[in-house]
Amino acid sequence: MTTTQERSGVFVYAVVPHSFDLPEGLTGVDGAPIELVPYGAVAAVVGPMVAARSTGRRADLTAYSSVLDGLAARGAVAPMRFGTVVSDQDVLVDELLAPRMDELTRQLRELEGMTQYHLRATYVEEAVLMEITEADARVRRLREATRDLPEEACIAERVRLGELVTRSWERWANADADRILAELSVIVSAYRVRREPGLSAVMDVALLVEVQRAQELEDRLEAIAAEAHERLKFRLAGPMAAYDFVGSG
Amino acid sequence: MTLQAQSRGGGYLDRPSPSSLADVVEIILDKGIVIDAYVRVSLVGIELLTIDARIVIASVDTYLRFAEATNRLDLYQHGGKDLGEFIEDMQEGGSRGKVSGAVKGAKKALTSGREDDEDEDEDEDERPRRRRSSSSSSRRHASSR
Repeated sequence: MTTTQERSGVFVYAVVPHSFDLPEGLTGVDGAPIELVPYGAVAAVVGPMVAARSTGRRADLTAYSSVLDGLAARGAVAPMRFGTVVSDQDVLVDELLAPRMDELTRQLRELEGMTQYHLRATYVEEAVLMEITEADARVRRLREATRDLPEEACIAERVRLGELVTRSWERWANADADRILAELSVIVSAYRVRREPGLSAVMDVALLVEVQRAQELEDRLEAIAAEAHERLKFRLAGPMAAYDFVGSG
Repeated sequence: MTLQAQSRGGGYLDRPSPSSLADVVEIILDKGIVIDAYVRVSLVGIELLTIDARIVIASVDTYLRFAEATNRLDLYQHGGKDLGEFIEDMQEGGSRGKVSGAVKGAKKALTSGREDDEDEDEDEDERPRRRRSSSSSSRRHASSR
């Protein structure tokens, strides 16, 4: 790996508490072993890589992801953004660990005992269109007026119909998302809305939950999904490192 | 890490195990601690083309697609056509030259949503956005080439 002295770089995966118990045998990008760079109360998790090449490869992302999964199973971990490579460990200390140690320490303390899930909910299209049609007389009227005509004979009416339907859809998505988040807020410690409710997804949120309450969250979501299954589909990924709850953005 | 999504557990909650590549891209790509660009040797050069494959649907096409779907509802007898038949019908319609532009747009939206598990099917049309107190910034997958 270190054949060319100037070309080698340091891939930075995460920042963890100083006393972190690194899993044995964990390898990262290019199959290289990972190690800790301790500084004060924190430590960076790094691995070597050839910096000359692009780091945006699919294999790099999966390697990064599995390192983070391995770390997250051991304790508090603040992920670095994927693709962060610095020239050497001194730069890492000078530019990240030393100047931001207080912030990093605070973040890691907040993440202690926490884990993240990613929840995505989408509508069952036909069921929701049915509800919208039944609830809105204008939709029913435009539907009756356009459904048996060729599309080119009533473009304006169809656009109006679609506009009414999509507006209702978005409004309902917001209401459903609010209702479900309210129900989850008694379990989760924090959440981040990754994408506002809309046509493509009702919910796209990251949830931060205490590890001890993770099962409770999964059970609650299973119950919510079962109850709403005729109109909503839920997808839950995790537990994972708290990607959405570190950094400023 | 498993690249193919495998649902675990029973019930109605879909649990990718642990996460498909699409999930990973969606979930982690633009997250995490950022350090100033000038100290980085390199930050990506992203070749993950999947994230660039998002389809932007014009509003009118979106409206027509929803109008069409609404028109196809059978209000009195549940269990209308499934999406597959819907797409076939639209292909027939397109081949007869009826408003082929709109049909093509809608078909593209539908088929992409179907094939890609809706992950790539993001409507980037401008719709009213609500603020949320705890909202994160809107996600942006700029592939910085």
